[in-house]
Amino acid sequence: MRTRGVALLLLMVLVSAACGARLTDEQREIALQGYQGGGGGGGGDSTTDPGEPGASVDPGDPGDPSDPGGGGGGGGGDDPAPDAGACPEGEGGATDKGVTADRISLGAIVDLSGVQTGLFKPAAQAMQAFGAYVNNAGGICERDVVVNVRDTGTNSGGVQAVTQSSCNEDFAIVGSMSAFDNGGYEAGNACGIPAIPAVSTNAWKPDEIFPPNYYPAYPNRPDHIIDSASYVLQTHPDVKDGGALMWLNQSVARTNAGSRRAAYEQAGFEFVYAREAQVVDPNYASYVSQMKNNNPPVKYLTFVGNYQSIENLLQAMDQQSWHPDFIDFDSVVYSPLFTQDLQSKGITTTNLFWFINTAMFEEASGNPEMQLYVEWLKRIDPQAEPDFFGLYAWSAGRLFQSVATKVGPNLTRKAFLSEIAKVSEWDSYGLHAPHKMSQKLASSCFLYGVIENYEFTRVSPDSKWSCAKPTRSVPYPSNPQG
Amino acid sequence: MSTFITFTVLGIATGAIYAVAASGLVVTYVTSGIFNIAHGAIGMFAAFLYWQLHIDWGWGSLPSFLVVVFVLAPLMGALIERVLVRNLRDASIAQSLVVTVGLMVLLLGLAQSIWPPNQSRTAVGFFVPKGIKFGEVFITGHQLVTMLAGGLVAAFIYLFLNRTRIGVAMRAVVDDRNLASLTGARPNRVSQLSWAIGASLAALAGILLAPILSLNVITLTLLIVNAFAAAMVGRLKSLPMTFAGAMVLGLIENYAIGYLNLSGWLAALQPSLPTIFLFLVLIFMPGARLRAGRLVGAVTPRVPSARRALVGSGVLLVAAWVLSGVLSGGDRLYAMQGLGLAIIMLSLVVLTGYGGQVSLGQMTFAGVGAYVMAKTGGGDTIQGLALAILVTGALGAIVALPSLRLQGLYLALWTMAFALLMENLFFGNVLGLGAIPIGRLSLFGFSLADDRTYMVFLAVVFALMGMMVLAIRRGPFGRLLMAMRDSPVACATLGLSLTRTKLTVFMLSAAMAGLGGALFAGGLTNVGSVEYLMLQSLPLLLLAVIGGITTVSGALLGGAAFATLPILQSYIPQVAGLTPLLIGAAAISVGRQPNGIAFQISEGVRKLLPSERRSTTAGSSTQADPGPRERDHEEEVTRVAAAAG
Repeated sequence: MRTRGVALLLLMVLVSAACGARLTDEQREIALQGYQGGGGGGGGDSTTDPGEPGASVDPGDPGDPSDPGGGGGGGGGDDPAPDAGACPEGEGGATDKGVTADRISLGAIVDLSGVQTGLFKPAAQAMQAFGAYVNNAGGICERDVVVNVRDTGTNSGGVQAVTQSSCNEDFAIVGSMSAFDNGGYEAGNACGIPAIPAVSTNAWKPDEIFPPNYYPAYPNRPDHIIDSASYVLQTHPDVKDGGALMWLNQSVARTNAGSRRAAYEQAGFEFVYAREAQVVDPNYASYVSQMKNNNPPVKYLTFVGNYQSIENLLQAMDQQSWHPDFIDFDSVVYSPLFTQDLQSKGITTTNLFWFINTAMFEEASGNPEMQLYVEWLKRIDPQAEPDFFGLYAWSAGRLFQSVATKVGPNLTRKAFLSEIAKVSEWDSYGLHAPHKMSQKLASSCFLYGVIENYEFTRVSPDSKWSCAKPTRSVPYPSNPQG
Repeated sequence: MSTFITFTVLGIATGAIYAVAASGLVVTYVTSGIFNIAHGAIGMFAAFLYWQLHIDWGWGSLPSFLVVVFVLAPLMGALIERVLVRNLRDASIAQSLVVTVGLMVLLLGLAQSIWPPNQSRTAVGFFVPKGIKFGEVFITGHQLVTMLAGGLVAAFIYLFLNRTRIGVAMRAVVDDRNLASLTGARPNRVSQLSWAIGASLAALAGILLAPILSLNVITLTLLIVNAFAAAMVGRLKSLPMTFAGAMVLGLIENYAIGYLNLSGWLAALQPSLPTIFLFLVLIFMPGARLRAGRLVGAVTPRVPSARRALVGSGVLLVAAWVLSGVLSGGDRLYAMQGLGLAIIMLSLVVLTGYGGQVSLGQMTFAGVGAYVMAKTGGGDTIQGLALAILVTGALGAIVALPSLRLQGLYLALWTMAFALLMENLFFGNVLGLGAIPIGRLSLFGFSLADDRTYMVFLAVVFALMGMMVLAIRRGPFGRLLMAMRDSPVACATLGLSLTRTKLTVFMLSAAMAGLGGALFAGGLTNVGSVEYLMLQSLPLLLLAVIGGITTVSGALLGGAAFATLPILQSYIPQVAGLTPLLIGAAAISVGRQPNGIAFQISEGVRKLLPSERRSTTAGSSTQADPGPRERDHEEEVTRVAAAAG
């Protein structure tokens, strides 16, 4: 019988829209080298005080607003990097819950313990790094930031409970990362706490994806899909009548697969094969054999699931000597763990493409904000590894810093929510594509890459992201079976 | 035709995987009488050990394989037998299941502590990338090795158990330990050897399956559940039949991929095929005979009087009221969830603690109850709650029907199959796309929406249900349940209707779980599918047994454990696997104290009371009959020498 059980609880996380990207030693080295002055636009010396980003790097470059590409090199967004001294005047004091005269408490709700330990530990570490960085830079309007990492136990009830704790004790929820984020939506909404999660994984309601006070740094949502289909059709027009879609038998994967299918069909794709695979599935060779002999032939394949299942699928494809013209994966594969596994198993990467909406770790030398993130992460824990979720948690922290600085000493939840609603775009100074904060919509920008010699290599565009097409609005929920 | 051949070959390859996994399970059961749910976890642990030696430390594949399969795994098996299994002699099904589930949780926690998940670890197969082509399909060298291993293991174990003296002795020890020892066998040593062989086979399965599935703690641990159906074809005894069952299962799965293309609700049938296969196997399995000589009267905790129960309820309500004010918002929510689960655990007290029937699907009933309430009258009405109770009670009756033929482990697996089927066919469809909102009750115009009020309300419900459970226990139906648990044979001989009793207790238990589920979901304010997966029923049973499944206070302690463990974990964040380690260790202790913590506490308190001390002193000095109350607490196991069976 098929056991989804506990494994599925974990896999929810991994298949939910976007997944991890940890740096290899090599990538990390590149990143750190960049920070030490190796790359254009970078600069600074790691021995100088990195707590003053304005001195060594220039995260304040807002980029060219007319350039929809946002800023791989450090641009985009409404705001320049907040200056600790650029604070409006005010009386300060204990202005609201979680705020005292000299500190602001932030809650980071993260899946740490539970069936799969340390699932989103990099997000917690990124928030701690952010706290250290801000405090080193003088705090926010002379208040230090205290980051309370709240462990959910990787379950919905835990998220609800720690959200309630945050409501009572913290000023805001920032940099949260949970597979069960919707478990806290009701509690968070009821108390009206400002919330800037790192990446959203679940919807609140079909007609209201996020509670009013939630502003995810990456507002990932199932009813708006990046138009990666247009890129595929532009570069490989012949594949549109031979689409194949596979997904794991798990609710979030099924939801995302449905949305992806709807978006691709809008773009003109025709799916001739659609199958659900199991988490514990020893039968990938059978799926591959079926696709190989499918009539009409399968020319394009995409899979919504965790990278381990993708490895099994690719391995079976190698064994059956079958590779369609375009194999398409989202950010779930953008992880050195994936390429390391492929290399260890000797799996070929023929026709394998991937797309992401963050800056590439491989290009960190040209991205001061990424250098800043990596540097401070290493300061709080030299063994810590940056990754996709950590990147967005850092971004959430930076967004909080920016908005709280604008609000000034009279920091209240109401004032903060009012101010964050005015942020039209946010790219964390070039760390990721510019998301539409006020609309709570993910950016339409993305970049495509391939894996060459088991390394991630950019294919298009040459720099930054491609933002020409708007996201596709699709019905939610959509059926992946069509 | 070529398509058919393709899927047949691939089906045999899949079947071989199940055969390897199921063989070890069967061997352990045949030679120890224990259904080892931790079999997959042992295999997982061994696969990681193999990775450690071969990949991380650079040993050769052959020495690594030999050391893990023939040295480390057997040692682990022998150790498990010595520390855990030996205490399970004469244990109930619930007890032995819980101990092995505890072992599984413990191994999961250990593995994640030793090999943190966020690191690349690849299991490389044997003879990769070599292989051979059958028609249009390519079979890898590793798949061939797996197929070969599946056949060889089945043949070897068959010959070993039937043609060697030690093999026969192993089976004899399971059939009748005392008789076997009279013939010169050394039961403890034989049992230890059985577990060593079982662990060795688990290690073989883990090492062979890791390259096919991925070196992942969860995946490798859970594959064994897929193999349950295959093992059941051989009724957990026949290896040739198990092998055949594994092959049939593998073929069915692959033919389904090849020829079935279901859509809509029917699409969920495909992943459910192995579950349906298990259902059919269990239905067509010959009805189990009532067994004589079973354990009876094993430690029956004292049943509190109505007055004591009332006092206890009062204490609980006061404590809940005080705690609801003292606890912070987040901790109060944990307490609320713990009380909700405690109510669901009460359903297990009646079913398993009193009636001796094991259910691995209580959270499914809870989920159905929550769903029905959420969908009725706005999700916060008493009518919705009543309907939830009725619907789940009826569902309990349907699930109970086969229980008239099945008992013990088979019944437990039946309920597990039901839970899995509901997971795929029901929850996957109605709740699969996110949680649905559910309200908190309004009673006679009085809203219970406030957290503090709702927590006290849950305590009131628990107290009322606890008193109801105790009233049942003291009444004729309770005595009937206890009699059925202790000796179905005696019940049948006396003309008592086991059929009616089983049906009634299943309905009652399911309705209680439905009520608890609806109230539990009210605490969460939403109904999502994750809380009601089959695997959530395992920790529920685990915590109930750890608390004390034969007592109402045990259910409360189980719920309290659920509430406090996350809080404890938050104080010691550096030990991320603390919760599974604690739960695993506590479950394992159940082997020594089957009545759980509640019983131990009540015994400790009793000894401290002056009146009880006098009674004990008098008893010990005179060696007199301890009296009926003391006899209730006797640790000695008595046996029924029934003639039938």
